[in-house]
Amino acid sequence: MRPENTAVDLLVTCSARLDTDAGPQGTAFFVAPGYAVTAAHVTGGTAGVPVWLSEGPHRWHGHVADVRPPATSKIAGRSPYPAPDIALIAIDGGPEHACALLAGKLPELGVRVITRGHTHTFDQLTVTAETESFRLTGTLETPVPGCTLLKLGLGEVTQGMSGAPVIELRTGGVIGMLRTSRKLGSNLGGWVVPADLIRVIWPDEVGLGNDRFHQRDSRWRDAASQLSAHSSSKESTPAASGPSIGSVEGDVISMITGGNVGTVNIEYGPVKGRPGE
Amino acid sequence: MRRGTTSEIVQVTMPSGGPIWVRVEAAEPAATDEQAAGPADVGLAQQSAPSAGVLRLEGFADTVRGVVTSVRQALDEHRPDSLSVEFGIEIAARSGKLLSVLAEVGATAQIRVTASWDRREAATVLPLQTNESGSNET
Repeated sequence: MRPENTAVDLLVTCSARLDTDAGPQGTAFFVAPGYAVTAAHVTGGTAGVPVWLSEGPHRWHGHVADVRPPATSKIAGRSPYPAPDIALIAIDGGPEHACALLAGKLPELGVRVITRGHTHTFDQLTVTAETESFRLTGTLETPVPGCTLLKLGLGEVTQGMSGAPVIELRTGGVIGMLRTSRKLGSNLGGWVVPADLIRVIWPDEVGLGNDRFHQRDSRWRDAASQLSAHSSSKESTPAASGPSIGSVEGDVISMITGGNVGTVNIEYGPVKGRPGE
Repeated sequence: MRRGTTSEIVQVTMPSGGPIWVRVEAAEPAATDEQAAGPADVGLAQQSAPSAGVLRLEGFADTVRGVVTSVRQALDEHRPDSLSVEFGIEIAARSGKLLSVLAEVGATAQIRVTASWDRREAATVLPLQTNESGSNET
């Protein structure tokens, strides 16, 4: 399997379309058992708002547990939303889910990344999943101390991708959450809230929750290791490997989901409560 | 905004709460989709604003109140019995917000003021004819 396909399959296991009472709003992804994140502006910047996540046949319901920063009359309607623009969603019910492997360190400039969001691109009416690849081109400091965003380029960020996870092809780690297009209708890419910042904002719910999930469930790490191994082998034998990207040995998505390639088959029991309950 | 045009029709909520449809001109140079300036959040809700969304007309009441108050104050010492003020209000879109501004003709905003006096003070001295309803006639 090509690394791009493996990365997209990993994104499928952790991401979902987000709806509120007002209809589809964007994308979210699971970061810990019982928790997902999205962009604050996707939820209207208000804690307590009920949300519904969906991916294929799976449905979850939950509520916005925290927003950074919360919307105020000054913020309402502003675009771009003030940094960091992120919301924590507590899952109140639904099937068990996989969690994105949050990258532990900042990626190197130039690395290839892929995102997967739920957009209106096809006909401006129907919400469908859309993937796009980018290069990490730099960072952007914000007025908020300690909040530096990642900049993506060489790809188009479209409406609906807010809250989508961004996975690094070389390591299989999710480097952050997409929030803003640098210029709509262009391939200038967008801004990403880094994974390490998400960990810092919610150290218990996200930081510890993410670590514990991947300590007891090694399937994403295994898939990521294969991506890393493939990347290393490709770098060590550039002449011999030629233009072909090659393939990842094994059925990675089956490792993650326990099902078949190309389908999301997360068959765990229903979520009985939040972590720690 | 449609490509190649400088105006669009949007739904506006008046300060009273009622919705109206208005055609608004862009206060900034019209931008095509590709030229849309700067970063933009990419939630699906952001997609509908401002074109298809309901916008609030900010500053409408303040604009009207400001003009009327200014004219009244200007004529206060002359104490007209009736005062008519005509002026135009332009609705302009700027940075995704609707603003109401005093309409300009060339570089100058036009305000037509009509003041009248019914000589009531003179009438208090002179005997007045009254009609059956009791109102004064001049």
